[in-house]
Amino acid sequence: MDILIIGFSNLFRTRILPLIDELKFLNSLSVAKYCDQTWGEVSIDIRKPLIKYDDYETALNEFKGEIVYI
Amino acid sequence: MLEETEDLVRIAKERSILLSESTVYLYHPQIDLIREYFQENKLFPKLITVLFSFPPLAENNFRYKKELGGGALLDTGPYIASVSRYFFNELPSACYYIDNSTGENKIEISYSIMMKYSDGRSLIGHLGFTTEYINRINILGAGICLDIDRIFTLPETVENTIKIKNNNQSVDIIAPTGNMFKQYFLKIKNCIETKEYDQLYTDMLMDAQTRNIITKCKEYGN
Repeated sequence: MDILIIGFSNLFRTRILPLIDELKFLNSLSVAKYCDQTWGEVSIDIRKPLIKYDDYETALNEFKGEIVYI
Repeated sequence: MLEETEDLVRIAKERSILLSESTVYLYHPQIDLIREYFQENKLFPKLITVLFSFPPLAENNFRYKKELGGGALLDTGPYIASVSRYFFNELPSACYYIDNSTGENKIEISYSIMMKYSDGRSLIGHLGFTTEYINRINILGAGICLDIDRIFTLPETVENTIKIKNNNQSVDIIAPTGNMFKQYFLKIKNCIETKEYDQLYTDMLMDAQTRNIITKCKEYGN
């Protein structure tokens, strides 16, 4: 399964991101930030394929996976 | 908000899509231990006290901005609603809401609440962002007084102590470490694979209904 996270938040970075490699059923991670937000210097360091979207609307239109977490 | 939830659940059902509100703390093993203790000892909660409050945030925090979904009730209401559902499994028949906000904020930054249920059960709570940090529930019933700290946000590396007084005997139960987010995602995976979505729909609707009762008390008076 593939997952899209809507919101590049502290909660995502601290509680969900560290789990992505551990959750074997997830094949890839997509993450969308708020359009006015910057990605900053926080690295998304995972072994699985990563797709980053610069706004929520594009992410929701283009994501083809099974799970969306807001 | 209730209407939105009802619409979302209806659409999810029509399209056979899982829809769930991620109140992940309920997936920590400490919650199972509490439920098991009550079941094994034939105990029943009569009064639940929920305290979830923390110091003021930075002035530009979104929780102070109504247009961004701010306010203590939107921020912490899901905790009250899910505690209500999990331990009482019914909607409150009466509700009393107190806005404790002070100062210049135009949205509530702190509130207290009291809700009534069948069989003389009740839930009281104080939630918001105006106090020292507290994140605790107490469950009181005939022969039982149970306290648990950090119930809503326990880090995955931390064991927790559930403090119980049962017929005047003190008992500490050590809850093992557990990652509530991991357990939640595994639950979601299993539900997707089995296509068992009904309980998640029901839980989400019940929480929205409870929050709607609280919101109506807030907006129209008790």
